[in-house]
Amino acid sequence: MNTKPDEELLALWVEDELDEASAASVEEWAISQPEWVELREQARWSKSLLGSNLPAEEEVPHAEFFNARISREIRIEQERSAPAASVSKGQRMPWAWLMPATAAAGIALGFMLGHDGSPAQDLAPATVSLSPVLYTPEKGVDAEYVASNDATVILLAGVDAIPDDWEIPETAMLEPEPSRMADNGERHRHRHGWGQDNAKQSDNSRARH
Amino acid sequence: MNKRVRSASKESQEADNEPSDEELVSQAQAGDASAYDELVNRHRGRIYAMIRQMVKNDADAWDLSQEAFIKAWRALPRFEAKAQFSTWLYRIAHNSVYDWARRKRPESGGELNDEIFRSENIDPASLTTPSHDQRPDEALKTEELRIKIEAALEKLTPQHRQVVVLKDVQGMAYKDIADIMDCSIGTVMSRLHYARQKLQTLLKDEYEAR
Repeated sequence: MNTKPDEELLALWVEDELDEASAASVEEWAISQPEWVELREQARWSKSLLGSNLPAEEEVPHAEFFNARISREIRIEQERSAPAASVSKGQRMPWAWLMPATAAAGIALGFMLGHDGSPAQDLAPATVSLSPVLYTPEKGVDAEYVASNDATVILLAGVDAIPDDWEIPETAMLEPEPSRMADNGERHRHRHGWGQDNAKQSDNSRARH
Repeated sequence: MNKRVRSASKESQEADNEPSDEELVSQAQAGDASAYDELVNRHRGRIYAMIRQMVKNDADAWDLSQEAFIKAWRALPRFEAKAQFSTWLYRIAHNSVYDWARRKRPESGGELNDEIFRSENIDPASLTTPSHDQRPDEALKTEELRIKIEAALEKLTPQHRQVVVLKDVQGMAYKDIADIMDCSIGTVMSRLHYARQKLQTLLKDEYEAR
C-alpha cells in the first residue's frame, strides 16, 4: 500500500492488532513515516511497561465478604420490590368462616384473664429481632455488639492501639453512658474464626427487655 | 495475602461446561441471585484492578467496585445482549469512578484536577502487595518501578489515565473503550496518544532504557 491508509487502520497497525496480511500492507506505507513508527514504538513500550507492572486482574480483599454485601443489597432490594401478598376472592382460606367465632373467643379469653386480677403474662414481642451478623476479617480480634435504646456500640478487642496523636473526628465524639448500657443492653459477641453460625449461637447473646 | 494476577490482558476462555456470561445474565435477569453471584466472581478481579489503578486507595476501590456491581444489578433488567456484559460492566465502573471523582471535588465545576488523585502513601505492605518468589532486592526494584508508574499515571487527567489503563493494562479494543467512555474511537485514539506521550516524558528513564 503506497497511499496513506485510513486513520483507524493505522491505529490498529500502531497497536499490532492487524492480521498478518493487513499489517504487511499498512507497513509498506507506514515504515517510511517516522512519526507513525515512533507512535508504534511508544505503544509497544507503554503496553510492555504497564502490562508487566500493573495487574489486569487483582483479587479483591475479603472476597467472600465483598460478595456477601452485594448479595445482601440484592436481597434487600428484592424484598422491597416484592408485591404485598393479597388473597383474591376466589382464593379465600377454606376456614375463613371460623374467623368471627375465633375473634369472639379471643376477646372473651382476654377479658377473663384480665378480670381475675392476676397480672397478664408478658407476651413475646410480635416482631422477631434479628441478631446482627458480626464479621471480623482480622484474626485474633473479638467483636462485641451492644445495642440499647440510647446507643449502639461496637467493641473491638485485639486491634492495634490508637496512636496518642490521633485526633478523633467530631462525628465520632459521643458522650458515653456506660451505666445505662450495662443495665439494658443487648449484647452479641463474635470472635474471628467462629463463623456466622457460631456467632448466632454464642452463649453471650442475651436480650433484655 | 492477596494475590495479584499479572496475566495477559485477554479475557480467560470459559470452560465448555461452564455457563457463558450471557446465560448467567439471563438467569440473573429472571431473578436468580446465585447466577449474579457467579458473574461477580468472574469479573470482580478485573473491575477491582481497573478501579484501583484509577483511585489509588484500596478502601475506595473496594467500595467503588461494590457500588459498580450493585448498580449493575439494578440496571440488569435494561441490559440487552447486543453488547458484551463485561464491556457494559466496565462502563458502569467507569461512571462510578467518574462520579466519585466529581463528588470529591465539586467546586471544580466539572473540570477534574489531577490533584485530587494524589496519593498520600502507597504502602508496600498493603494487603494487595504482590508476593513473589523474588530476591528481596529484585522485589524492591519491582515495587519501586510500580510506584513510579503509578505516580506518573496520577499526573494524567482521569480521562487520559482511564484510556491508557483500559488499553495498555486491560488490553481492550478501541471500540470497547469508546463504548465504556461514551466517546468516539477518534477521541480514544487521541487521548491514548496524548497519555502515552506524557508517560514517555514522565518515565523518560524507563523509555530510554527499553
